[in-house]
Order: sequence, then C-alpha cells, then structure tokens
Amino acid sequence: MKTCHNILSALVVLTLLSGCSSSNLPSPQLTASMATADEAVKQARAEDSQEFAPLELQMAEQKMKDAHLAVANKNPELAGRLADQAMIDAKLASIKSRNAKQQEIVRDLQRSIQTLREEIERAKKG
Amino acid sequence: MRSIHSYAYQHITVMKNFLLNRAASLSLVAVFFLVAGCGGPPGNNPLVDASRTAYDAAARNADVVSNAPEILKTAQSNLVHSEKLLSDGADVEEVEHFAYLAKQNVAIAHETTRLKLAEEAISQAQTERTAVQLQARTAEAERKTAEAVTSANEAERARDQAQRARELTEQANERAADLASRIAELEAEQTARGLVLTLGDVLFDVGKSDLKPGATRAMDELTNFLNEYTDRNVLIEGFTDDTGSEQLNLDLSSRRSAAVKSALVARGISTSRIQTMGYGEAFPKVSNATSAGRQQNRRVELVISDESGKIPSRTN
Repeated sequence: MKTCHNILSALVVLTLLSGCSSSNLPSPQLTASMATADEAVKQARAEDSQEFAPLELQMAEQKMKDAHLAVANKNPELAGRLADQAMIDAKLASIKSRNAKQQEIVRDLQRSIQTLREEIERAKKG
Repeated sequence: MRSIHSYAYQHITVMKNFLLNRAASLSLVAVFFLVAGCGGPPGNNPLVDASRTAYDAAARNADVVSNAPEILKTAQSNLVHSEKLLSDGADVEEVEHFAYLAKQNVAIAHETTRLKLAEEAISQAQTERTAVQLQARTAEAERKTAEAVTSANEAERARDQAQRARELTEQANERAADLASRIAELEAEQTARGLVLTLGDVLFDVGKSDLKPGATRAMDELTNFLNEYTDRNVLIEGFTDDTGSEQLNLDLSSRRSAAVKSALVARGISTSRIQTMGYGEAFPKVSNATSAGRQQNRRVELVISDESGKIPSRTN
C-alpha cells in the first residue's frame, strides 16, 4: 500500500511536471503574446528605432527570434518570457525614437524663433 | 507570460498541498527537488535591487508621477511581483524576468515623461514662434513706415529747399528789378566804374557849395538807396568848369562834394561809406568852349559801388 501510494504520487508529480513544461501546441495565450510582441517589434522598426534606439531594437529582435526558437523547441515558458521581454524592449525603442524626433522638432522651433528674433533686431537697427 | 507563470505557480501550490496531505517521502524528495530546481535560494538579487532602485527614483520624480502614472503602476506591479517571487524562492529566471519588465517599464515611464514635456515645449515654442513672427512682421512694417517717413521728410526738405531757392531767386530778381527801378529813379547811369548819379550845376549857387533845396529829393532817394543796399558805398566827386583859378576850382569842387557828403551823413549814412574828391576843372565832361558845355562840366558825380563796396579810381 505504501509503495503503491508512493508510485502513485510519483506518477502524479510526473504528470504535473509534463503538463508544466511541454505540450504539443502552444497555448492560445502564448500565441497571442507572440503576435503582440511581433507587432511591437514591427512598430518599433516603423518608428525608425534602427536610427534612434538601435540597442533596444536589436534586443527586441533577438528575443523574438529566440522566442520563436523556444516555441519550436517546445519551451512555451521561455518563449512567453522572451516574447514579453521583446515586447517591452520594442515599446521602449518606439518611445525613445518618438522622443528623439520630438526633441529635434523642439530644437528646430527654437532655432527658427532665434532666427526671427535676430531679424527683428536687424529690422530695428536698419 | 504572466498567465503561464501563474499556471506554474498553481501547479507548485497543488503539489505542496498534495505533499502536506500525504506526507509521502518520495513525493517530498521529488517536490523538494522540483522547488529547489525551479527557484533559487531566497535572498538578494542584483537585478531586483537595481529595478527597485530605478523604480523608487522614478516614483519620487514628480514629472514622471504626473506624466506616466499608469506605466509607473505597471512597473510597480512587475517589481512587487518579482520581489514576492524572490522571497518565495521562485526560479531566478522568473524573478529576473519580472525585475527586467519592471526596469524596462521604468525606462518607458521616463521616456513617456520626456515625450510629454517635449510635446509641451513644442506647443509653447509654436505659440512663441507665432508671437515672434508677428513681432517680426510688425518690426518690418515699422521699418518700412520709418523709411517711407524718412523719404517723405527728405522729399519735403527737398521741396522746401527748392521753394526756398525759388524764393531767394525771386527776391534776388526783385532786388535786381528794384535796384534797376531805383537807379532809374536816381536818373543814374551805369558806367564801367559803377552806377553814376550826376547832380547838376543848378543845385548849387554860383561859386557856393551849399546844396539848394532842389537837391533834397535826389539826396533822399540816394539815402534810401544806400540804406537799402548797405553793401554799396559811394564816392562823391566834385568838378568845375575852367573859369576861375585852378586852386579856387579845386577848393570849390572839394567843398561841393563835402556838402553832398554832409547831406548824406545828416540823413544817417555812415561816413565810412562815403568818400569825397574835388577834381576842380579836371575831367571835363564836354568842352568848356561854350556856355552850355561849361554848365555840363560844373557838376557833382556820385559813383555808387558794386556789392564789394569798392570803386575803381578815375582814369579819365
């Protein structure tokens, strides 16, 4: 009875473990996370992150690649983590790029204001 | 990912309950192995610490708190979760995963803040630029107006100058015309030495140098003329005919010209403007052979200078 019980327990644990780490198809949640992350990386590229946030973009792309690899290797837990990280990296890349462009606009505006002020001074003297 | 994690978490909980209920040694060993393998020993994790530090700094930053509250909240929940996993002794990769998400969300919160501040700066700068553009246009308009005013003033000055020049010319012309008419009034004649007014013999008594009342009008006119043309001087020359002694004639001619001078001085003409000469019987106008000729030669000539005030000496 005791042995039987132990064997039963071991079987239960094994079953749980196998459920934990592998399944033949990725879960709908993982599929959704992967799609969201892929989209975020695409968005980051579209916002010129290659120019303004190359490090973040590279990290996001590498993690996405690894995430797809993890799915293929039947490691959904790792894939999910990588996808989530790739998404957050991509988001950071996007916002950094947007920021850089906005700062450029601010500088342009300030330059044009400065130019106008100089014109006014010249007009006053002239 | 969070969902997958919680699945794993539930499994562990189920296993723990199972263990407690059954207290099976094999299960215990297996589960202990499983837990030890999944989560590291509880304690510090540098990534969690770094994320905590970064989060705390952001949470103290008023700009971040007001501009990126939601992302900050997400970062906080990531961080709290990773700290809980750490204290629960969860898998280091799980712990660090959430610490990483926390750290990146803090970075996003900072970037969001900067972005919003930049957008505010842009809107402010656009407003400022509009104001400055207006100023620039105003300044330009003022400059043009000032230029127009300046050129208008210049034009006016030029007109004034032209007008003044015309007036001066007119005045000069009037003076010239006036002079001409005065000369006509004086019955003077224009000679190479200047304007010459001749007072005839009839204005003096024979052998006397006193001016007769008949000369008054001529003296008044000459005075008026000299008062009006103050740059002109006068030379008074006395002449006689050839009757009588030469010395007597010189004296008489001198006295007669002095009498004319006295008449002018009495009318207020400065002596400095008047010269007198007595030539006696020299420089006869015509021959003294006839009575009429002699009468013509008995005379006083008043030579009026040009504007320089000088009178060339008599040569004939």
